[in-house]
Amino acid sequence: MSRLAKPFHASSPASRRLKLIDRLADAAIRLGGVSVIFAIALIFVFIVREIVPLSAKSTIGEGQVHRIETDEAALLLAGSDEFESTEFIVKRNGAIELHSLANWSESSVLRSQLLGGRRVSAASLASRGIMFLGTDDGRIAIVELQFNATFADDARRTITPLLKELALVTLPSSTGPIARVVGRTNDSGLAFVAQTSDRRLFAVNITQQGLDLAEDEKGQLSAPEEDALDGPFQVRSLAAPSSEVVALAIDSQADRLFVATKDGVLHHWQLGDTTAKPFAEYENPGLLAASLGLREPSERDSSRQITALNVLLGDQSLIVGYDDGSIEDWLGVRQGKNDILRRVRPVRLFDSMPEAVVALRSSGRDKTFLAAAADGSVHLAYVTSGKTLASYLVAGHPLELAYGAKLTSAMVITQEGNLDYRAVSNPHPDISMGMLFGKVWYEGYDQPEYIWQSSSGSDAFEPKFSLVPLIVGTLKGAFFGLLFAIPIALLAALYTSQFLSSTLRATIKPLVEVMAALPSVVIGFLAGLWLAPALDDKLPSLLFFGVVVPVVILTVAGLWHYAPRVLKKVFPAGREVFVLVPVVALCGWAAVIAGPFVERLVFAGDFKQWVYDAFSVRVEQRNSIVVGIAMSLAVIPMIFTLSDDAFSNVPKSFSSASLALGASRWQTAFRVIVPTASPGVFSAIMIGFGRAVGETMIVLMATGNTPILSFSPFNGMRTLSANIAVEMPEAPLGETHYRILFLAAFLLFVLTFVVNTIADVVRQRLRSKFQAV
Amino acid sequence: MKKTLFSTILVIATSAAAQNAITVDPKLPDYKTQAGISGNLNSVGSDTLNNLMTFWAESFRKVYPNVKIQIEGKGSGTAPPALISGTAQMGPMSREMKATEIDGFEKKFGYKPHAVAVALDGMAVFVNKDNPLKSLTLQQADAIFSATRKRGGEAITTWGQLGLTGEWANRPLSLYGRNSASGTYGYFKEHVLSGGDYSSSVKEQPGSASVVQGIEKELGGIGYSGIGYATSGVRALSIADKGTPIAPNYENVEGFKYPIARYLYVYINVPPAGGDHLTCEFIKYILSKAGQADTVKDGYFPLSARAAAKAMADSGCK
Repeated sequence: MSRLAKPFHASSPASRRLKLIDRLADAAIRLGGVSVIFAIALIFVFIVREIVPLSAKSTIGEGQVHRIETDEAALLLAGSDEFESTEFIVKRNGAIELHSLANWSESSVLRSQLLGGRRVSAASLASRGIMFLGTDDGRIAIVELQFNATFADDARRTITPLLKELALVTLPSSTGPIARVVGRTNDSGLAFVAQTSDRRLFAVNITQQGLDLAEDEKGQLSAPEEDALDGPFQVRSLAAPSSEVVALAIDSQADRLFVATKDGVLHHWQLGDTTAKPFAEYENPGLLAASLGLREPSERDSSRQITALNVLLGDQSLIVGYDDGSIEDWLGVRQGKNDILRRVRPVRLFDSMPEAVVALRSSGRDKTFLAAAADGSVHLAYVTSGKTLASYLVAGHPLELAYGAKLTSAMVITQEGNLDYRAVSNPHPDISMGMLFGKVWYEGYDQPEYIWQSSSGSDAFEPKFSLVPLIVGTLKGAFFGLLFAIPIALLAALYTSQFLSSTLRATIKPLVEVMAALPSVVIGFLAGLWLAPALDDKLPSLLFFGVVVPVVILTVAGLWHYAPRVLKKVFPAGREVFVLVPVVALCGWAAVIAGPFVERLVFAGDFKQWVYDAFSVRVEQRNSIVVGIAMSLAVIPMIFTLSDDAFSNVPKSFSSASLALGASRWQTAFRVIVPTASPGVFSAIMIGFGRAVGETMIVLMATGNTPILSFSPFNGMRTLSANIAVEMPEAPLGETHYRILFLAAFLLFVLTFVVNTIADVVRQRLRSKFQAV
Repeated sequence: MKKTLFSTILVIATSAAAQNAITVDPKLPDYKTQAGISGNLNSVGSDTLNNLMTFWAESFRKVYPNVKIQIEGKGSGTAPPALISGTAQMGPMSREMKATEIDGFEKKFGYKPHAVAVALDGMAVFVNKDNPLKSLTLQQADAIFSATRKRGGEAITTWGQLGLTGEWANRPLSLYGRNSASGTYGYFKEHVLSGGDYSSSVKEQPGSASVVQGIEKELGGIGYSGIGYATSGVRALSIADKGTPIAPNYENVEGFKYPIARYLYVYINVPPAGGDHLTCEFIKYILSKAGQADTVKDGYFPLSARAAAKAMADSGCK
């Protein structure tokens, strides 16, 4: 010990050792600081790297043009197998020609025995490779083109195409050629609508039992002359359309049928109800968009003719193409409040094509579709956002389109007999700023809304990625947390720093700080499993408690002034709290007990029912009040300790001067201390806010996690952070949903970063200000 | 685990009382013990099947003590990512895989995953046991749970709209549902809401047990989950499509008369060259008499011998 007492010399070994330690410590601290910044930067880089691909543009590769041998220019149908390795085309002579896309010369031809040499005049492709081939003598052959994959020992895949004959349907008294056919596989079996060249329409349903019957009859199914509305083979003739049919479209359940005719009428049939008339007719469909304010009216509107129709996956959107190249998305909208069936109307416009739209083909996996115009331009568009994702031009006049099953290829067949095949890369069609932050008119809704519903159990689902409800939920959670935390924490800090005796303060401050160490999952657990059910029927008590306690505190404080001197001697200044606490506790307890009486008196015996009747808001068990209380437990220690420091750091000379000039303690605290400490208090609140915004476990466990856009205190919310925790395990790696969760993380990161930076800057300013005093 | 056992006993008690105990198809194959079965199995997926998978794993381990089985059930949506990343060999799912999920699997492995139907479920709409309501039509269920109301009708928010009177007439419904990772969520959405969207007032619970627990505690509660999660505090409603209401019992579910009867699946990764032995043995066990007896024990409905044979053929196991 005596060695240390000796004065140091610059060259003494002890001094050198100390200097070394000093330098080492300095380096270690620097290293620590730099690594923290480096780690945060790394997290930032990682998050950004996951988000950036969202902005990737859809791309379409170079076209490979193949010549197709045709006996006639017109080809009927094209498609590819589910692996997008083999392409097939249906020709008028009934041949189904297959080509390997990797090696075009590898080809084969399949022929349906059912056709028996008849020529095909119309064709339609349904799911599972089922094809409906209309013949020029009024029959419809139904065949199933299967691609069976077999695997060799070295896991090489071989695909064997196989044609399964299902049925040959003879329509009643029909010998003319079939002009159009649209077919589907639905829940009950197969269904199709055929239009003959003499403008008659037939709706046909064949159940599985009907197909079994056909098998016994070598595939032959003849329709009776009269309509057959029941049984395994149902045939119905629909009222003949008013003029020549230009386009037909049917939904996947073969329930809704749309027929566009040359006289400018769009007929809407509900095939489920067996009335002889269409459910609705829309005259001059080309005018509707302008009359609904979706576009500027133009002189051409009244002469616009529908040239192509397509029902999108999910049966909600009808894509309508016109002869002037415009494309519209029509949705079913409820007219009255209780309509079961919805009339369709245009809600969205797409980029116009240069010439008449000749073909529309929707995807079987998502909400994209391909459109081809007469001049050879092809658009790839996404319905929900209304955006054209990519476009290209093929040589010649398009006739038919095909969209690969896995959405990685597009094929256009031209009148000139060419097949233009292109690879499509469309990683994130379902994302745009408008969809993330704006109101979107989703399928099935009656107006544009902000909705978060990210995934579901089917491909037909329209993902709804509006971040607005989540951002509002985050702010709502933080707001209610701070609503409870700020008054309690600030008043407590002011009291402990200015009025409480210093010995008491020395115990209370660390005690509150220990609260901060409570894991938030524990708070959330208690809030969700104990507090929420406990508060459920005691909400009126809580409200009453909130009114009674402040009143009691003020009354007791006021009365203390007149308290007998003996009492004041027992509880000197700084220890008055021992009088207040029991009184407040007693009154609080009384308020809780009195709650039900208040409920009976003011809220007619049932608070929840009263709220529901008065505001038509349901009082949920897991509501914002529960979250607010739980969140305040996590935030109070932080705000308390930071603002207590701010209050205590006000130089003693300020308060001494104020007291010396005759101000009371209360006046000093409120007029001198609070204004001087206000920047520090502000930064405390900001840091508390930052904590509340980023809080995950409490909200996750204490709310219903409903992504609801509402400011009511009686229902819950879903925050950005809780959303990430809830949905990360189900989000497929690299998909849009996954990346949007990272985007949410990025938003949170930026938000807390900004808030904390502001808080810190303010605190630094404050510190330098007091150094100057 | 205690709680699960307890509720299972209750389920057995209630189902026994209501349906005179379900017996498994005597034509189901008996499980034959193989020599040299050991190793680790991981299962990630459906929460609906979570307890059932645990039952199967426990009895399978009685046959093969050297096998270790880990089961995680957060929702069917978590099964495909786990199968694709290889963290699980089995992915129990309460709905069928989406085409996009199959695409993802195929991109990684070059072949498709195999879907094995392992049990029958009459997906139930539960209300509190003190609720006098007996049945619900699909249209009413849609009007209660959806924002889109594709089946038509006015939005239903109070029990009076479902025909209840007295103190129930003005009581608001409190809706419980599952989160979007759940296959039950997807199935209900597809088959009851006709592909529509859930109303934003449905409280999304992370598991079926918390759905049932919420309804137990709240008089005005209503929610959906697999029938296996039924407890004495809740009651499953009969459901009508267009005709008469049909109760979710074995007879109605097995004949698919109950409108929302469904199969529950286990998806497995079996290469075309032949599957990994352990997974296949486990599947064989599930589809045996003993495995299907466990299904009944958990409150779900067993497969018939024919359905089990078809499932075995679908599994790709030799």
